[in-house]
Amino acid sequence: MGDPAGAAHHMLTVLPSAERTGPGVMALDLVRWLHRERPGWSHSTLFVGAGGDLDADFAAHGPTLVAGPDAPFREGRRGSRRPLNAVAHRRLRRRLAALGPIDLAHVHCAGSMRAHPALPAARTLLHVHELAVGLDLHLGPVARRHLGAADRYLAVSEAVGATLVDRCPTAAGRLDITSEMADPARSGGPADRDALGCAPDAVVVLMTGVRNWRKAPELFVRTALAARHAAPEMPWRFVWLGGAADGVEAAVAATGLDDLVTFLPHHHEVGPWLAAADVFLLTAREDAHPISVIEAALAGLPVVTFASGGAAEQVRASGGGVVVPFPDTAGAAAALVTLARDATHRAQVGRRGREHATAHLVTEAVAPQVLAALERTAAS
Amino acid sequence: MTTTVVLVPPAGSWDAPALTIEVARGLAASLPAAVAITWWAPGAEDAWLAAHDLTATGLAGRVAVARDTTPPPATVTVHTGLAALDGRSADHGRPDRSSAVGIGRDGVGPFAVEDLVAVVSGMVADATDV
Repeated sequence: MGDPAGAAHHMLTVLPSAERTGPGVMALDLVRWLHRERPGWSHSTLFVGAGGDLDADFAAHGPTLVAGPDAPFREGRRGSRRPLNAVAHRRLRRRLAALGPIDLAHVHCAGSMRAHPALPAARTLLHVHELAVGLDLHLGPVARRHLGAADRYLAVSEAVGATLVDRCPTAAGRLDITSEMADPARSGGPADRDALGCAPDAVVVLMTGVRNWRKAPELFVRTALAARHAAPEMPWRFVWLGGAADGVEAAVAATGLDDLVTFLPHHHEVGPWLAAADVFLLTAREDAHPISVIEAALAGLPVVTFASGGAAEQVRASGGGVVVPFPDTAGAAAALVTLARDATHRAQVGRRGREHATAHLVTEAVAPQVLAALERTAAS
Repeated sequence: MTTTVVLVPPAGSWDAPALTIEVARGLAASLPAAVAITWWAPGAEDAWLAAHDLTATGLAGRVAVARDTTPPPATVTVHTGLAALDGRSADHGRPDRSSAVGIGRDGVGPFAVEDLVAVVSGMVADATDV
């Protein structure tokens, strides 16, 4: 039996936490879009691990809950914690029942499947936003056991889909691929280099994100050094927005490289930085499909990225940048030099990326595909 | 006896940045195939991260990952952390008194992967001559 077009659902959005991460931002954009396009739907939100910045935004569209210990991570040796976990899941199921009848669960991130045993008798769409780090390294035993329990799956890039099917072969026949999406309003803003402390003639290379092994800030610095070595006449300025101070920042400061590389705290409004930058550089060794790369393309920035995940797929599909093998920092630097030296070429590449992103990667283009996947799930 | 270069990043690789994969890539390109290269990564997470990088670069068949808590025997120990003090103390109190080198020490500048690879290659050549 098919799901009639426009049938109203009570959808439970399930997120790992309410922190302002890519999946959370994407889920919030979707809920806002659904609020406009499907006004008959009602929404509730479950944060599996912890609350955070986005809690109030989701609360504007319906009740929110934080599961905390009621969504256990571990099972213990040989499943020794399973009775305790069952008690926790029953507690969470009672709390969810107080939200009213829920018939559709949109679960973001594989790790959130640790809450699956507590979900109401609703159809479940698992929206996978991660590659091997999320599907192997950080996936807890409870979530791993329930990874195959969703009714349908949505992966944010071809690479994510392949990685998921490799770990969960039963997902193969129930999988759709839709990219991450971005609100173009976040990529706008005036280019005021003065206010950002950038010289008017600087070649500004931007990267945004947390700083840890996955995003590889050390390769960002190595690429900066290689670019300066290859083109010392260029007034390079490499800026990384986001993340807490780390060993890379300390090493840059201790070795007098801060005229070349600047680390700044997270900026909620990244638009002015995108407007001020010349090129976006993604040094992540693994990234499912970062929203920052879509925002950069929407701002008309060429993207230089290592060959990993959705960013590489986006650049290859759009011609809006350069993909180099991981961890070829000299290759990334060579691509930056080519783009920096030829403003016309840079503008052409940026335009291609913007046209592709505007057509395929904005909320208005992607949200209908997610809605179709949700409706297929409801009808499954 | 096999000549072995052991790469030693700081503990806790998720939050402790190091240049290990670039060093491994440089050494794999410059050292003879008979020289063994081992990445010391005790602990499940560090070993997983090392294996991930080696697979991503096609070096999994060239560079071995050692998971033991005691450092593996080395002809040359290479500290791959960003600063001179980074890295497990693999070269202190070792019975084999292997040579050690690292970023920010031994004449190797900060972030200078190519210089480090050249120094290690020279040390390996010397050790092999002996």
